Amino acid sequence: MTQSPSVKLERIDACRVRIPKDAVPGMRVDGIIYADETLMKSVGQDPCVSQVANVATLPGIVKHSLAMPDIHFGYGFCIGGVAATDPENGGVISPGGVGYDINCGVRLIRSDLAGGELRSRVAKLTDSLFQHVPCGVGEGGEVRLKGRDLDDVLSRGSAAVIERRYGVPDDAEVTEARGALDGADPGCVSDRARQRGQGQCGTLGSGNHFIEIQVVEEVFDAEAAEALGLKAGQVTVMIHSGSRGLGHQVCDDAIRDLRGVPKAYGIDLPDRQLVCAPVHSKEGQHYLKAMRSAANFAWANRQIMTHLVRQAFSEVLDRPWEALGMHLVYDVAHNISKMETFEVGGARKSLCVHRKGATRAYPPGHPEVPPRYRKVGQPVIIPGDMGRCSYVLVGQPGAMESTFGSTCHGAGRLLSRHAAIRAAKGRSIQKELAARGVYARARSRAGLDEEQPDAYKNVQDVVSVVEKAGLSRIVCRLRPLGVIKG
Amino acid sequence: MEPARSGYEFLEHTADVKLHVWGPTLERLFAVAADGFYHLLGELTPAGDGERLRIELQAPDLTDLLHDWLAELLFRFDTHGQCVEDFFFQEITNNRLVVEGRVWPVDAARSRFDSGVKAVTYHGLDVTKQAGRFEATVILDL
Repeated sequence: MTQSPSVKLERIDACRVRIPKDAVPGMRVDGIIYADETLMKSVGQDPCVSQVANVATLPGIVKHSLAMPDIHFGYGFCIGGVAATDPENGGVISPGGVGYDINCGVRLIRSDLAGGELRSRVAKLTDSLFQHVPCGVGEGGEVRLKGRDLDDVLSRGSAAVIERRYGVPDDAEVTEARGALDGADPGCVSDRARQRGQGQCGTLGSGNHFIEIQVVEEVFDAEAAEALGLKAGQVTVMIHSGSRGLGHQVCDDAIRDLRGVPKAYGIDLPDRQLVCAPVHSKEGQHYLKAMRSAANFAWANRQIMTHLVRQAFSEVLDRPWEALGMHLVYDVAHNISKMETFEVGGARKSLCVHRKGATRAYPPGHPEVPPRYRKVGQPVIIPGDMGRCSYVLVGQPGAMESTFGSTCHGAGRLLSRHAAIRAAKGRSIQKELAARGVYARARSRAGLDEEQPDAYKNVQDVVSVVEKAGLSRIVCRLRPLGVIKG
Repeated sequence: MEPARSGYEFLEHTADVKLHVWGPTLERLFAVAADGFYHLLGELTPAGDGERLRIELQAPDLTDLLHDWLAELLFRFDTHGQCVEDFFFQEITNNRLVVEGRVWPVDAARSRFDSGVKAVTYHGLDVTKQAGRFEATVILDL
């Protein structure tokens, strides 16, 4: 199904556009895209709008098929897609609603360092990160996971590697789901996926994954910033990475294994990449258990890299990381599916929530928000693209009411990789970044050229919409100082 | 001048890569698909002579077979740092292929790596035959 200008769209308010359920045959609910006029203009002719309509055809879908303002084309679900299905009503789980990079996510590490005093050492610190953290294609890590060790990581995520000296217990307290989803089963992860993952835990990967040294440039919500341990001028480190080859293989396996399954359950799909199975089916459960295992692998991955980041800083600055105050602020997933409870039609229901390029954003008071943040809401970390600012937000009640506790995850590409490479011809992206005060190290030239700032939409436009829509509130803006990429 | 009878090209795609391949036979189609895949990965230098290998794949249809062929190459590269070359298709039908070739480990220090491929997607993947030419477009998730 490709987008045609004739898919009916109705603007609801300044932040939302509706696709009414009679716009496309088979839709069970309306679609709602969170976007203002400007963002919607850039979305305009893109087939991602049809993808929102396609998701609305899934059995058991509840309320709306949603898309966040960073919406762009994906496989099955658009990136920025959110959908919840009711397992008691034949609701399905769809791997396309999670993505190939299961639990791609972001974590933010704070510090007691000030950007001003660190300026002369940013290059050395970035070089140290580049040495310590394996990144790029073909870069294996120091951790080799096989057999029972790998099973343990797949079952227990962050905790499994924290116990192996790659962090402290408090790191798990400020990780979404405490760094592990219940209901994982390593036995559901294929041998091929295990082989792909065994040398990759604690490695950054390539593409749009990065580790960035940043400074808190501006604080917008002083109370929330204080609760998160953040203040203007402070140095932070952000890690953006996922489940590496293991997760990618789990998704590929699932799309193959589920071929033919929708038909067997009488499910008619407008797009093959929306392949799915009822949550309450052996096929659905098999994927869920494998997906949770991959999600746990990703949390372990980011946890190991946290340790390596702390090690890198400690070596350069010649102090232990604890003395540098390098504690974890929070870690969020933005490609995942979880069973979460929401009020639907006056009753509390356990729903299968898909977030594909979308982040959980629980409000103040929610029991799953760590006690230290419960007054202000769950931290939401929104990475900007390379060379541009990132944001920290906190979840708001509007998200629970309207988007199954979800908000955006980032910016979204504007230029194709080829167009970005063409635009970079004759230029040194590395030098241009340096002129903007960003010291960049990348394993491949393509890693810089394809990921240049102009290749992405402006994340500021995206976070403005989710704030205006009441989904989350902006706490502070972070400016990059140094970045490493694959 | 006549267009090449077989070949590959990369088409525009916002976030990932679209590999368009064509050839007069299935053997050529699958061979240029491998060429395109390795081109995307970068400039790979072998470490040593490698060893002989045999790959056997079965799939419900030709589209899945092409997916599985590229997925196999990706798996070998991502997991074992290996490249497959000097191959020939002992057998290739709509449902099965048997390949004999050499597999060699990549010399990371003397190679240039360009793009990290996460997966071979099924999106828009369809092997067609028209006017004596096989054709397909594969989207690779980066």
